[in-house]
Amino acid sequence: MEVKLKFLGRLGNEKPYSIELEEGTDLKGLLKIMEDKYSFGIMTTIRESVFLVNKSKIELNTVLKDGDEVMILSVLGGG
Amino acid sequence: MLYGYAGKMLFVDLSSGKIEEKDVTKELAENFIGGYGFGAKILYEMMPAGADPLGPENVLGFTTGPVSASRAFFGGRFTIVHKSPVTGGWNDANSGGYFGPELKKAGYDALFVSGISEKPVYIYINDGKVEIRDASHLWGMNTKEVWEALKEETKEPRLRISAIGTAGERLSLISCPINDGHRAPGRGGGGAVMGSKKLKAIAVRGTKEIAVADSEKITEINKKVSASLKVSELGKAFGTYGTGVGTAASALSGDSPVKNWGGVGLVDYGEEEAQKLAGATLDRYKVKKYNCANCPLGCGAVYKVDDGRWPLEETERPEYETAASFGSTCLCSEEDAVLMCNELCNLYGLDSISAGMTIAWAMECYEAGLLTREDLDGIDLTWGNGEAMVEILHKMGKGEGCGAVLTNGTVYAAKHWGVGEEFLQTASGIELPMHDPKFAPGLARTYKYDPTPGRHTKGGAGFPQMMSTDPSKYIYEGTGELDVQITANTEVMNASSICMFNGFVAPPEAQNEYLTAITGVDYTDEKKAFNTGMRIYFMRHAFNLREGFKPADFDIAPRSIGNPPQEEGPLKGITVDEELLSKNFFETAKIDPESGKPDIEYLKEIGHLDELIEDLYGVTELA
Repeated sequence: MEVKLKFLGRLGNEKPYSIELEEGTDLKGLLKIMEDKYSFGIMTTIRESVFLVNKSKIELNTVLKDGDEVMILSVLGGG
Repeated sequence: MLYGYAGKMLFVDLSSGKIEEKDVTKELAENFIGGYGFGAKILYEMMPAGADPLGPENVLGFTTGPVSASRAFFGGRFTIVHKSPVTGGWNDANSGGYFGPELKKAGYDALFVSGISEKPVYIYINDGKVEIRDASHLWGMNTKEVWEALKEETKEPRLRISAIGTAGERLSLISCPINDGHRAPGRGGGGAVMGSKKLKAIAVRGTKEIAVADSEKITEINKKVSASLKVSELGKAFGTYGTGVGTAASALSGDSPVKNWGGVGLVDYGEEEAQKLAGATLDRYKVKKYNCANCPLGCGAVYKVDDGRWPLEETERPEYETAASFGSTCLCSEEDAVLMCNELCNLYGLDSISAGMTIAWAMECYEAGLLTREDLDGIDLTWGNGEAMVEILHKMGKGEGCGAVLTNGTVYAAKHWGVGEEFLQTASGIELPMHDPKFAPGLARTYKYDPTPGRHTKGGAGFPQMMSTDPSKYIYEGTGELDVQITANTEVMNASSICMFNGFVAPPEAQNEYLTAITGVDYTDEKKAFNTGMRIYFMRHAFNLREGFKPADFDIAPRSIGNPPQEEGPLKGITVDEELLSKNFFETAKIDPESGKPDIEYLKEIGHLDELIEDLYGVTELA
């Protein structure tokens, strides 16, 4: 199955892209796969992000579905 | 020898014209650090209870801390203090730029202004020489015009000023002074206090060096902070796009309020709209970076807007708070309008948080039919209508038509028109800032019960939660310890005049190491630092107690704590247990939840609060 990843906030410069996942992969599994692509620092930012699918927040054990668009919102304070 | 201080405070009485200097004593410095620590102590001593916030008895302080004008990084901030005409209680608000360090280099750790002048004046401080000068010719000018005029008049091209625009002159309750053209201690009505005193500006020029205890150590800490900054993802993000780097993400994650705190980002605002105000999108207008005094990060930027309806030759990058208040809160994604609103707040001297929130409140009233087009001088104030927002803001800045009402904020406007009380999004009368307690629940306690209510810059458990998605932040048991610890540390931070962003990017110990190296007093002693922070907290708290405020007098708008909870979006179903958070805080800080009085034994343990103990418990208890 394929899910699309979109980034906003601190990682806003990262262009959206699609990723092929095995059926039944949850958010935790997706993060594990993303570790190959990103540095430890960026992964820390990603792990601290809010993840939304279909306008709702998803948790680490949420199973992803084909065609899901995962929005990765790296949160900030201050300002 | 007091290291880290100019050593003198300046007192100016505008009624009599009397100018007086007082030494900063070792006791004051060690027990209250500086900034609003000094401010809370001095105002408690100088002001009677029940003083009219816009009368001669209100004392307006401009205060710096030990980190100002030292070589330590992040020392660009200063804090104004006064009784607030908005809440009727204690007020402090801080600002960056260069004004604070300049005041200190001119010879003063703090300036306290009392009285009311008969005619408009400005206070001119040049390396220890102080004059009250006529400002009749400056009255009516915007803040940038005043700066230019005073540079010319004083023949000091490096002059720094903090000035009110026309909003403060007209005693707008959401007005503030602006320093360096675009930096603002925005919140709580400081502009109205200046205006009531007929004080158009403070102009300073200073060249003195401030002696520090251990200069080599400061260099060493600076190196450590630089190294930390280089590898900080957050530092890179803020340094590149400023605080607005998170504007789009926050509008969708639930961090930012949407549609006067009643909406959901992805539902009511939308991803595309949110992206239009993202830091990276707006930065196509960036001309150059702007760093406050001695800041290695530089979250500011100068913009040139050469397209859209309001081209601006030179303007400043809006802060996140400003972009969110005029953006998601008003459902506006018209970037030229948001940039223009930011510029107008700087020129008229308006608090951009309260200004955006006031427009959002009026939009909701207009939609509900509670305010008519006639009430709003014919302006069609629909959600997201940037043109209408700019028009209304001009009216607020000039105090014209409906703007004469709206320029006093939402509580005043709701009373004036007798409508929309149910749409007020305030904490004890001041509009809430742009971080939602449903996202960072600890903010509910801070917004409601901090002695300066409704601030995102005050300490508490909500602080780290703003950058966390860990679900444990919604566990409400046992939060008191962390809430009080962070509060005490934030009191030290603010009193030192060190920027909050030091804490975001530097090693956690850097703040108190800087303070120690600068003053020679050991703030790395955790107990000492904690007690000093709590002492400052209790001094601010005492100001409110003396005014007669009890915990039951403080309130927070129900939408902000999920009452009722949202039905969709990332914050769906969340109601913050604000009562338990507050109970935990009061228990740990040993504050009686009914009377608001801190426990006498605890005050004695914190120490150096005799005056407070005497006022709260009588002189016999002190012995």
